[in-house]
Amino acid sequence: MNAFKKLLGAGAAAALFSMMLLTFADVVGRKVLNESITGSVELTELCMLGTIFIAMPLVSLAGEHVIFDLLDPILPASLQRWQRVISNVFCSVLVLGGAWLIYGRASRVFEDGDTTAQLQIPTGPFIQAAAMMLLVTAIMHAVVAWMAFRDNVAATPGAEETNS
Amino acid sequence: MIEALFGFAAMFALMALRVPIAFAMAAVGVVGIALMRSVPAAFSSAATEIMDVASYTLSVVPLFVLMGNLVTRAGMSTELYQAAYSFIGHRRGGLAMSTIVACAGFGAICGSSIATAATMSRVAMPEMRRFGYDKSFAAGTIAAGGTLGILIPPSVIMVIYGIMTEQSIGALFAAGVVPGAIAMLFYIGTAWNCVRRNPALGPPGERTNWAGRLLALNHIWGVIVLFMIVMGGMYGGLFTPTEAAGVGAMGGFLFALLRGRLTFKVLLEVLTESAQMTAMLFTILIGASIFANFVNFTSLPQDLQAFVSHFNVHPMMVVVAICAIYVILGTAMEELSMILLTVPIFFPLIVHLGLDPIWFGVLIVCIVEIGMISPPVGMNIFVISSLLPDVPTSSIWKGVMPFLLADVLRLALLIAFPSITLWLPKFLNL
Repeated sequence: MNAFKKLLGAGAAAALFSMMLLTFADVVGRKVLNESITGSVELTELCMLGTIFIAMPLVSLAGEHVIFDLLDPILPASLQRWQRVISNVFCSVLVLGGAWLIYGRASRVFEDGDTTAQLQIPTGPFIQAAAMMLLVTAIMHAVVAWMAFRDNVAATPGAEETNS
Repeated sequence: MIEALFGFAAMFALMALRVPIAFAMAAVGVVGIALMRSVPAAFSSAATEIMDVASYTLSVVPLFVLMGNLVTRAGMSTELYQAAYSFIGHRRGGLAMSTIVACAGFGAICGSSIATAATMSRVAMPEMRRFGYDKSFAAGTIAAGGTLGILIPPSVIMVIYGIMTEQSIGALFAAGVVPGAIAMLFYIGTAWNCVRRNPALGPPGERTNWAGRLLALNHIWGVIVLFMIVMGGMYGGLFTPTEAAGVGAMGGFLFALLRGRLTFKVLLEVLTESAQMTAMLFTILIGASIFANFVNFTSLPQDLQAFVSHFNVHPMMVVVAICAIYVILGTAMEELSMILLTVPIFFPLIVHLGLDPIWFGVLIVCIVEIGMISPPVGMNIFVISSLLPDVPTSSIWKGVMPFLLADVLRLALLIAFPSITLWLPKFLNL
């Protein structure tokens, strides 16, 4: 899992770093040398795609999404553990739906053979990759839900009943 | 109208289940559109909103986030603090005032409150401890000063508001300058007033001679250069906000590199951290956009406008009411999600009433600032309390209270006199 996290982190970092270099080089090229980088806008968009969708599973795994936790002090700990299971299952299903939607869109883009305007890069594979990352994100939520569930069972006396 | 209310109720129910706010908004939005229009319409709207975040215009967000994280690692906060200290540190409460000035300076190169508060607590707290400052007062000063990060441009919140409402980011940034300066002066006044009432809170520091002051000023050239390039370039018509953000991030990268603060490992950390922050922000943006599509299908925005016209409510009263709702909601909710959630309802009303959207944007930022330091959920307080384990959270709340009062006064001032905010963008012809 750690190696996997590092891999995703490096991927997102590379996309963001390229975006920074690209924007900077484009500005310098245009203002100083009077020559812009061909397709810099579409390349930036691909970097954006990479930055956001590669980092998404990491955010889910680390539980960094903003939640409303004002009720925490008044809810009993056992209930909160179940909240973690339920909310992560919910997120997992929702993101899975998102992955399916984006995958469908990618297939249509493939059929149409869409490419970016200037560099003629086919966009289908990138959208498909985004769908894959959403799938990974959904799996991450499922993993978090499973871990919370296992902790629950370990913490709850009479675990057999809750298992059924 | 009733559909929208059901939507909000469902969303709060999901939130109470600890479903992240972004996902709650997305789920309710999709189901809502599916019920009001059709399932294919809902799916297509969701897919479009998900893919739309990978746009060129939005790249301004990760680049400003990255710039802020890089300058934080470059350690420029120390020099800023020393420069401010050399001028006013010898006064009573001077270290607190220096902290506020340094926060404002850091806010000019960093668009995040939390980063500003976190980096300043590392620099300013040890100094204030050394001179025997009251811990509650010192921590409160840092928490409040940190909020200047989002009002003084660049500001990540303003960028997101600008994108959401299709307002000029350049105009929003310019509009934040004068209110930011007023905020800084109000905070300094608050610190001054606190030590005047109780001198034991903040004993004076050591006096610095003019040679020392000039030397300290000399050390902050990096901050000044970066600010001048990014903001000057934007207002000189040299860069678009996206380009300015790219140049700023590169500048932050070069500073951190030249100062020897950037090993490969640290760079990787900063980049990953910024990418995760971006993904988190954009998840909220996706959820809020889907939810906004749903709200726009309901009659809620029109009903609200009709309600206001029917009762002939004065536009200013509407603004005051909206601000009051925000301040109350903001105590319990995370501020960015609160704004993204409500902008589709309130923004059309503001435009309908003929009020200035840029001015409203600055008011919203001030409200976010209040939310960040008001109990029970204030992000800045939580960040500082995690960095200063020996100062109990309750005592930070106590220390921040006078500053909160200054915030409310400033908000009232900005509501009453829109020209304070709008003067600079008008002057710059934005």
